[in-house]
Amino acid sequence: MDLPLDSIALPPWDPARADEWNAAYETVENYLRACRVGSRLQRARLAALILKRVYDRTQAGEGEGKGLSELAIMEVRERIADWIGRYLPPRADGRPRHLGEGMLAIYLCDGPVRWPYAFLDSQRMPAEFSEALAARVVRAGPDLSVSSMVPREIDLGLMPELVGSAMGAFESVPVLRALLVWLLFLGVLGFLFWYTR
Amino acid sequence: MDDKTDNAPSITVQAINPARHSARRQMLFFTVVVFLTSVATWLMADILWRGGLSGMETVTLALFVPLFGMVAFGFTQAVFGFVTLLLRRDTYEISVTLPPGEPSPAQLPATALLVPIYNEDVSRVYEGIRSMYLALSGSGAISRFDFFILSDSTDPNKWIEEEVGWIDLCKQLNGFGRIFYRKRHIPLNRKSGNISDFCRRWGRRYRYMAVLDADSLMEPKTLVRMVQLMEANPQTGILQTAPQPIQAETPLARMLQFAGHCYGPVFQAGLNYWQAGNGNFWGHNAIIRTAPFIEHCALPALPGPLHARFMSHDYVEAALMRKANYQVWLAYTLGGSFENLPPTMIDCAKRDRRWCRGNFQHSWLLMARGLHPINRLHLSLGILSYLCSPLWLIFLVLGMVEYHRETLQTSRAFDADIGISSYLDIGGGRLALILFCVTLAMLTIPKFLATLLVVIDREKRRAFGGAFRTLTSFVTEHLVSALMAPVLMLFTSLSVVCVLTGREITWGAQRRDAGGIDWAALLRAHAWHTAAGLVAAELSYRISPVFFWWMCPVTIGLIFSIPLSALLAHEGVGRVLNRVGLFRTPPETDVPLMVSHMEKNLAICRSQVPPPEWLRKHYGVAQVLLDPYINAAHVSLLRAKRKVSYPSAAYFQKLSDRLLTLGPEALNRRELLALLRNADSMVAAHDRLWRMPDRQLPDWWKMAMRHYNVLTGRPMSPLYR
Repeated sequence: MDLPLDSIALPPWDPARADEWNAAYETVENYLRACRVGSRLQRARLAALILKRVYDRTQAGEGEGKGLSELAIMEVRERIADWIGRYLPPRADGRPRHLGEGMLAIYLCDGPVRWPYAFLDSQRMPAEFSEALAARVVRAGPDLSVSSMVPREIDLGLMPELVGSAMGAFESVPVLRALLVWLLFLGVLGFLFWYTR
Repeated sequence: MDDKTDNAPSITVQAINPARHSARRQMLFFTVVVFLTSVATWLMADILWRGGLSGMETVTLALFVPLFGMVAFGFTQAVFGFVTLLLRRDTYEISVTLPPGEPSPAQLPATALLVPIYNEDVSRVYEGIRSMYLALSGSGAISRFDFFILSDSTDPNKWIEEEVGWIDLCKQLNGFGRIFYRKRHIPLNRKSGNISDFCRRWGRRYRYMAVLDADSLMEPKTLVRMVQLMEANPQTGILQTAPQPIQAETPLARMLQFAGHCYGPVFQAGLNYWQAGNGNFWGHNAIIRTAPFIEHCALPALPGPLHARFMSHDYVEAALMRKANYQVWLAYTLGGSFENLPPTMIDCAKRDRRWCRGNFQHSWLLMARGLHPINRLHLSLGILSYLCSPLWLIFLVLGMVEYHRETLQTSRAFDADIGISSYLDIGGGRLALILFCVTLAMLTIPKFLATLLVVIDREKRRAFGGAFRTLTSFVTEHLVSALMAPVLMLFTSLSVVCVLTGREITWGAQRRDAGGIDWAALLRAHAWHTAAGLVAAELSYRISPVFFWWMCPVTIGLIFSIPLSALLAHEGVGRVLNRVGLFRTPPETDVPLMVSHMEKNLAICRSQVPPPEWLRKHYGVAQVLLDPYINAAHVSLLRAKRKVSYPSAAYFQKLSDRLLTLGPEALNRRELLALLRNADSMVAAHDRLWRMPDRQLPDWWKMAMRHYNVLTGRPMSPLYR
């Protein structure tokens, strides 16, 4: 968060890793698009800034064994986290907000859409954007007001209890079910016999 | 929201005390039903009893009693309703207790509007909520109503769609703190469990809760009036409105919509005549007094080895409310209460299958101690309405067998000079014809009386498109329902058999063509109806050519069930009917503002190009992993969990690996749901997906990334604005 967007510079041309840098650029651009940064110009500026930071880090020997795209995404998420830390007020108990809360606040106030050039900029932060960020909270439900809702037994009378136990017997003893089917079949045969006489 | 706690003063006006006169009404009503059924049974016995009553004839007569009883019941109800509406005076209609003047919102107690959903069309549900919210805001009453979207969805994509839609809706309406979303991870006890879950968490905050369906719409005036009525009648536990169908597009839905608007009021007035404060709850578009509902209406498990739960909870809740001495009323004159209809015959059959299973469960309660007799009657009528289909089928088969036996005999006992027919000098055959015509008349007269009420009222006539269109719609509806009746009878009979034998029927998802028809599903569903129709026609012709003509009303509908069902499901035909004004209904002539708003918004939502089929199937999963905001929103809505144990963490890690390296197709629905419920896995999977080098990503994710926010202008949401 030390650089304002005005002072961006592209990483130097590196023919050996040109494809990798290109892929990293594409990944960052896609991520920024997913963050609703609609302006191509702003996306290009932010992507260039982030790639420059990645370049500096690789030159400093950081991120060994990691691809440029991975480093670029880590960088963009770090930048977002820093930016949120700077502009989103901490919780009531003083703990800082985590990235998810910040992202949600940005989403709720439509930050990148309403203030496209302020998003992730370290210097230009309109007061309305700060206020909108601070004001956004999500409440999925009101405060609980717990009641006990316990099913009461319904006295079903004698007959359903008998039927219930008979059904239980049928479920647990398959022979009974088979017996019933055989009886039904015999009944149909008996009816046909009687009817054809 | 704390200003909304239940501290509003109650409005006191003269409440209805139904106990005094409703018994007299019930006596009169059921005397007529019993009289009609007895006379018809006597005539039927006279027809069958020609030198004795054989075993088969006895069974036929026994089947005739409930079948005709149901016809007589419907007829009597309609006639009583007709007279009530004609006289424009029903002292036992709960709306007469409405306090005069418009209430100020401050006078209204806190009311929750519950919208339980289960894998629904999210755009339709949320646009309905938007319309109601805006209408309530416009009326100044929004401060007294809170919306609760109570989701039991088991489709991972629907879940994410609901969350995204809810946040978008709240953003657009500034509705955070007024529109709430609750997703149950374990949908225990279906809809009744969902409502109970609300009651346990927040029920005490609200004096009333209005239960809506996913496709319900209620006008603010109606909602306010319902609250007023509950305030005016402190002994009322449930107030049910009569939902009017809207937005019908297919010919079948338009026909049912016309029937609902034209015939519905007559039957509802008749129903209210005899049930008064012993009404029923239909599960939605009703307002409930929360405290007694919590106290008395928690549903226990059913007896039996499976400990199943009530599927059709509404009737049982009404019965329990009555048992606790609270009244249940049908406010049939309120208006402003809408719902959608199933568009095809197959959809009707699917719905009926669910309801059939639920109604049969009620047989456990028929002898339960302490229930009001009228509630026992409601439960019995519910069962009988489904049981009548197989009874009618058996009645028809026995009729064929009996007729066959008659034709084999040398002397025709049917025409013997015996019984009442001998006094009338008409013979048994003609007496049977008279009984048949009387039955047909009793099925037709209720609809005719209802149509007459429309035609004689200038305002109503205009709303239905004029006298000619109303009468043409009545005749067409009556003929088409006659053709449909045997098909629906076979559908319901199959449902009853499946319910009684504990078997499931699967229909599968429909794949509709340009006209909204799924030919494969039509063939699967109706081929056996056609076969049954052909067999019945052939047999009846062999028995006797005269009998063939008697059976035609049944066989024609069955034989032509496939083209009939296709025609009734064709959206293009529905549009033509709409253009010519057939089956026109009042909400189409004067579209309620709320409905037109919703339709306009839905048209915008649906005009967007959807993602390709392969992505659509897992769009929610793609969204929650690719979109940083949706990922954050989803995680914020998950309950914070204590540290996950090692085996669980390893399980989630394995699922996550499969999801990212093989794509969502590699996980089944349960695995996807498990992963979506775990906040840590969701955060980690989002991070990992974006960090993964292109070469490691499976094609599905590569394509999804490209489509998600590169090829489409912006991520798709159920609410575009």
